[in-house]
Amino acid sequence: MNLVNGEILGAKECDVVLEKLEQYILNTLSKERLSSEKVIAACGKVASELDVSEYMDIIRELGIDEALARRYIDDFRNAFGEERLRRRVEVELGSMVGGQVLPLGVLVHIAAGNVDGLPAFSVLEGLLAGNINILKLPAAEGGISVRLLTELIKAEPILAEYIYVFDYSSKDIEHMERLISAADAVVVWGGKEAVSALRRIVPPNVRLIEWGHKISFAYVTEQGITEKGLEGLAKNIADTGQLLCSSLQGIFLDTDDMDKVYEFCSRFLPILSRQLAKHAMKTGIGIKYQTALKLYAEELEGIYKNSRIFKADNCSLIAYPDKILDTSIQFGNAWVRPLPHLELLPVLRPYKNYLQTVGLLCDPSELQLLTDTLFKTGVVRICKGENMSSDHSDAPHDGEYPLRRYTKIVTVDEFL
Amino acid sequence: MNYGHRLFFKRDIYSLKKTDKLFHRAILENIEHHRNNCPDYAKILSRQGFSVNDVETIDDIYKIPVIPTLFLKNHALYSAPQKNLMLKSTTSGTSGRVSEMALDLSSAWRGLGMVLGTFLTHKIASPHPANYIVLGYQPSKRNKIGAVKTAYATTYAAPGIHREYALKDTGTEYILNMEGIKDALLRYEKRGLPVRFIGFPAYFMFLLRELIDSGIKLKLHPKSLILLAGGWKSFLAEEVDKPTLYEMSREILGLGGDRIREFFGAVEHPIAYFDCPNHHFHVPIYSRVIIRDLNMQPVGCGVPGMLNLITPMMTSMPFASVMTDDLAVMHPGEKCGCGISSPYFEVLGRVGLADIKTCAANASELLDIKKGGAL
Repeated sequence: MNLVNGEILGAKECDVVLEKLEQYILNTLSKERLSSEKVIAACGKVASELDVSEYMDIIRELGIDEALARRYIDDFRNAFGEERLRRRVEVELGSMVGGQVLPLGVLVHIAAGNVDGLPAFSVLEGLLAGNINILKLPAAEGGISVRLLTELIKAEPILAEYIYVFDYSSKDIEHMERLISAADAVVVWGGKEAVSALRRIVPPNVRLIEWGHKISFAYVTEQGITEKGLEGLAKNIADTGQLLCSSLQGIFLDTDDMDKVYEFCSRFLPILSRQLAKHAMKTGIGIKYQTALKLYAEELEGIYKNSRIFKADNCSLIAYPDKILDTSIQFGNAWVRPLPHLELLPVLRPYKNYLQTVGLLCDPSELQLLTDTLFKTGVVRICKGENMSSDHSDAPHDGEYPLRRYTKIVTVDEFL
Repeated sequence: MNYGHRLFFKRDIYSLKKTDKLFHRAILENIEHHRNNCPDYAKILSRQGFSVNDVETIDDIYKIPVIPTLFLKNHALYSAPQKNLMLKSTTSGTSGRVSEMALDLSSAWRGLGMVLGTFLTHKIASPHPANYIVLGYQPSKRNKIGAVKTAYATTYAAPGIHREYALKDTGTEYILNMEGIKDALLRYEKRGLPVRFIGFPAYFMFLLRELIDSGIKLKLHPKSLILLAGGWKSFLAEEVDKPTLYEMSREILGLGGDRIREFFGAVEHPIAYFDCPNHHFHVPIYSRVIIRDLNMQPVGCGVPGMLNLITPMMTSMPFASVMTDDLAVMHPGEKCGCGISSPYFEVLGRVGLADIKTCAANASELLDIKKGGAL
């Protein structure tokens, strides 16, 4: 689906638009700058009037689990809330000393991710920073983004000329290059493949803003183990289904002794099981089968990996003797591995560009050294287990403030 | 290896009851063979605490440790020396990772018995010459995908006069040969010989749409056959609605649902399942099918679960009992009404959420680091 000036267009009409794109943009740029307050008010309206059942239908049609769908919608409402957006603008763009913060101009967003409304969300961040936004839709996203953006335009018609959506395939190099030629910066979301493909077509002088996939884990020292701390880790696993980039995938223990690892698993398993019984996201039957199948396959992998599985009714912990950072089976199935603190840097450094959040359980006396070492490995956020995925509106994402990345700081001499 | 050979050359391919004893002996013989020849398989059996004594009758075969295809995509297990392997295949790899499969002489011999039994029972084999439309890749030395070989092998079920391929090998690459297919169909119609189509339902649908767009309408020989590899290989993105497909085929080719036959098999379980006149996949004597719940326990008819396929066919690889990543349900044979007494299964879809993309880094990216990193 293509969206230009608030209207849905067919492929042929889009070609005409593309011919005149530069002219349209000049026209918009010559007008008064977009105020973030107008964007925020429109978002508030969309969030409060959101027809949940309609979105549930679309997401269901994409074959997505209902519990996940509900979670996405909640997240989305949260992110579009007026309070939160106002706070973000204040924190991310306010208090600039020695310059003025202005939009970059035109952002081209290349979004992956098919259900979380992420493409629309990326555009929203661009709007908040005052940019004109051109969104290239990911394949098979079910029309969620266009619907949201259309509603945003309905709530605030001024936004119409700040939002373009095109449905070209990433492989359609000719059209992609056309779009990119209009951009001050290209924003790309997605895995390694998506980013590398884009790097080949973005010219060297155009800014490329990457939001890559990330992974998070817990680090636990012997002195740091408390019932409450462990509950916090379990809570993150239960609440997020281990699906987010900030979700705990596994736990590294500050030890080289596998017996200690097994001991930890025996202690943590009932805590995890209890939390899951209380809070688990309700997953559909398809996910339950997939998880059971993966867990069973992992059981067989034991003949190669020398791993040991600790199983409860609703969850599992797999103890591995190796020192690898890995995605978990998810949905209540985490790994546990030994990693003495002296080896943190050499073992985790190769993953530097993937590291995000660490849930840390340690003694206060160990805190300084551990946080310092973890940041050196590439980690950008350290917190208690229960806060790993909590939404702090003023917290940076992946070590950056998105809105700041979408702006520039300009200065003018004092002429008078 | 006597029990296995005997099983695969039985003529009455749907009388499960009569072959229960033989199947039981053959599967135990097969497991013993793999245990002795595949050290990794032996390790799995012992890790799962399995003993052949646990399988006293055919009703106990669910106790045989199941190997998920997910596991086989990471590990190629062989029970025969490399020099004895022939007919190597890989899966078409919809998930990116591929499974390997290779037959040794003994597995291939059983496969031949099965193909004969199946083709004769389903009257697929015919002495009358036919022209072929293969909706897939032209075989070549470079292409090891299992489906190519199945498609090619199937073109020998009736003597072939001419074969036209949808994806033609130019020597360096494959090109879509839609014009060639259209020309061939027009020629085939004039010749008046039966035509045989072989391919996936989605490809066949694509062909029909192409013919509609080009304004081509044919009346092919009424003994013509359309053989479609169905089941879990169907393309989920464009699920083909069967009645619609049959109706389009009748309209465009003059061949309705009664001339369309579906079959499927998996690389890890190379048993040919052909559909009956009511388009159901009944279990033949060569295999047994068990549906399992979340705890890997077997469930009865009518209850959906994971699809576990058991066969003693393979001597080259320990694929005695494999679990696909499909959800399926069993039905009693009598429910079908076609006269075949053996139960049939219906594939409901794949497990899980393969299509969901979340922001958590995926395993393959991290794996690259693991391989490249100094860990």
